[in-house]
Amino acid sequence: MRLRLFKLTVWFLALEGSRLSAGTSFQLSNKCPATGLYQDELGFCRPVVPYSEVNGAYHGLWKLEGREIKLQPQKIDLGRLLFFDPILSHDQKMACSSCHDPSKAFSGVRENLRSAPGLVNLAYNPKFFWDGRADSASEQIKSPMISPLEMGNDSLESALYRINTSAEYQRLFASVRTPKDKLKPISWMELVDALDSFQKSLISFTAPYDRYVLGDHEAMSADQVRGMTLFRSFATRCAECHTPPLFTNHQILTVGAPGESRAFKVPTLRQIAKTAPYMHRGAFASLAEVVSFYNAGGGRSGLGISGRDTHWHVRPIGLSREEESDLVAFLHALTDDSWRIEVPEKVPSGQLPVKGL
Amino acid sequence: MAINKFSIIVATFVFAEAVEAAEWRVASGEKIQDAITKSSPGDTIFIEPGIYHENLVVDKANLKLSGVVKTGQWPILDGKGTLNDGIIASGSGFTVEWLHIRNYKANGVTTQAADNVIMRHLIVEKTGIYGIYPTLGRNVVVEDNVTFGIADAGIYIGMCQHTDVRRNEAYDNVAGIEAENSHDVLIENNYVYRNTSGILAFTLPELPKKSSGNIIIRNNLIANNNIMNFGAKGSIVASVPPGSGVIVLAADDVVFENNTIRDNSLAGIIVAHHGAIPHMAKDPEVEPNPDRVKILNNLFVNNGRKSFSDLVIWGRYLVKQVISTGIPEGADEGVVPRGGDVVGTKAGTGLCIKNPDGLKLRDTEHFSKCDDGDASGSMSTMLVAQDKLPEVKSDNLGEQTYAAICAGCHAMNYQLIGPPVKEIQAKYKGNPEGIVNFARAPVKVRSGFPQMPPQAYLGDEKLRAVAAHILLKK
Repeated sequence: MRLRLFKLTVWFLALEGSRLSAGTSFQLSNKCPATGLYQDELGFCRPVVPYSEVNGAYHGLWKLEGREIKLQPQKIDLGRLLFFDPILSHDQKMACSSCHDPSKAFSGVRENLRSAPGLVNLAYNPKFFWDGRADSASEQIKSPMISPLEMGNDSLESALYRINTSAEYQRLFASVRTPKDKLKPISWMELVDALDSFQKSLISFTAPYDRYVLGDHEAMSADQVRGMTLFRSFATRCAECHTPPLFTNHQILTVGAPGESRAFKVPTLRQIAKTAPYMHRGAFASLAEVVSFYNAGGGRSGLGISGRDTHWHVRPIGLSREEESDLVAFLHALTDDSWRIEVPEKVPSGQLPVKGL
Repeated sequence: MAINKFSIIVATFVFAEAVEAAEWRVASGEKIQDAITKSSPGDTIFIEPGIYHENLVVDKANLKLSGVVKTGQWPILDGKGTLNDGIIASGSGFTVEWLHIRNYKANGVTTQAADNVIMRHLIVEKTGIYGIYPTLGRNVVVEDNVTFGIADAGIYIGMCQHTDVRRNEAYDNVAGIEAENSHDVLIENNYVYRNTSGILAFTLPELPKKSSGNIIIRNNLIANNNIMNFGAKGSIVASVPPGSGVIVLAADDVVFENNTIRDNSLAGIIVAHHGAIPHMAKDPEVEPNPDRVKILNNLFVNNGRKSFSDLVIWGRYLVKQVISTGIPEGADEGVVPRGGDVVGTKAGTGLCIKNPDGLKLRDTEHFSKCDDGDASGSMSTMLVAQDKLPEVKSDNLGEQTYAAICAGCHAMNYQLIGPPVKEIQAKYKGNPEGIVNFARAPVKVRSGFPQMPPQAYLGDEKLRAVAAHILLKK
């Protein structure tokens, strides 16, 4: 009896100890992270879209289709901890951040697989994955979790089980619920909600391009301004698909990049300078190579995969070397350095956080 | 001729109030773009006769570019075959008039997402893609223009809503006038002749707008559109068949009334679905059939008859098609379609012809006879005056400006690139104008900090709003 009591005490202390070492100190932030958000008077995080203030003129922009984005800072923070926590994978080695590297605008190339798409302005995406096969956050988050090539869970339940047996996660999820639901197990939709809040919080409309468009003519260099004019011109037709201000028109099209011949989602070009290598399988190491590929005619040029499906806007352009480099310079004006991404030093599972590729 | 390269643009200010629109005058030898840069929203820029080798970009609201034509001498924007575009404009309320625009590699004049646009009295000649091209706009007027020698469409209405295209002349283009994935388009009183195809009403795949509809084609003269297709290889327009007066492709609710359609060697009007076009991309979100196309009273004369030279052009067209895209597969109608006044392609519903008797019809068994009451008359698309954009709401102007501009360098409680907001609040308590003045023309205050860039470009309204926001910020 005494021994049993002793064992129980040890077990209890061990459990409490592990809780402590995993950090009961986890406190979900009620501030919006510095990723293109501002906090409204009710405390919600909303994207900074400076263009709504431009009187009548879009200043080089196409209209941003209206979509209300309203996130809870605590859920963003909880999603951030989950994003870097390997607890979501079967072998507890892989986190979302294993492929979506924060230093690469949350993109990442993978050997013999399609690259992990960057997550900037994902909040505006109607479809997910390179081929656009998912149209909800739930579907999108489910796919890597049960893929044997990725997180390798047998089922969503097994991942949820691990989250539900983590005292720290129980406490954190409970803290973002209404009081009457405090004791419920963590559901799939709650997990999705937290992860989705984080991935939607990565907003960028405050790059040098945006400052230029808002009237700061020092924000872009002369070659970047020339590049922007080329980008908008029908000589290149870049902006036909990479339509400002999102720099995508959300279509699923074939351009014929090396790797796979099929239609892929037009990716946003925001933060593009951070996401090398490029295209769906990382076939091009630099933006200069991508621009050369399109200049030569994309899939029609022999530099990629030719096919009848290649979009009718993709044709040989005939830019000079200088014009190519102006375009590359312009793409660098879409790099938003205002992002302050906080990679957690520790995560609630007690495992080591995965900080990137 | 001695031109003073350093001559300054002569600006005539009308100073009644600070917000009063100004007038600028650009003379030959000066740069129009310099005047655009210096101008403010609402200004007018007058352009004197002369040749200007420029690619203009207009990113300001309510700007007017107005050419001055003197004794037949026009101001000419000339790309000389080396520049890409004549004018790219994104500001709403843009007006451009009385200019001759020629020899550009891409478009003559294009507006990008601008609303309330007027493009009139323009001569647009020899451009590589479109002559006059509004895209993604609402309330656009294209009137009294002449376009010729354009390698795609002389006038191209791309993904717009509410557009009037009237009293224009379009000839020697691949396509005279084209409306693509647009709604509420009135094409009226135009003279469209000697193109490969006169007028196109298209719904194309793989674009963000997925349909076209409510298009009125009325009182136009559409004649002799029989020239060789010189469209760029691989472009959709390069496969437009010569000899076609009008092609409706997958567009819905198109009404033809009181047009004279004559001497088009393939057909007066072709009403086609996507399957009739070789290698047309499949887009699951686009409905590929033309529906509710109504051909009311029109005068058809001598369409669908090929002369010897038409046959030669047709043969060259076929050869070019086979070389550029291969032997057509999947086209329902065969390599040599039969001609006539009205040609259908066995697809689409609600199609009708009011007076089929006496017309040369091909594959129009699925057309019915229009109702007596059918008419195009009730539509009005010219809404520029009535539908101005709403004024800006400035409820959260300070907050948004702060987040967009200031937050990159200033945090609330700690030093980022500049000092923390707390210190700014302490220094400027009760003195928002002090922040405004500093932000307009900053001076270096502390060693170890980079000097803040000047923010005067934000304008006083935004600066005041952001200063108030900074002082209230918690």
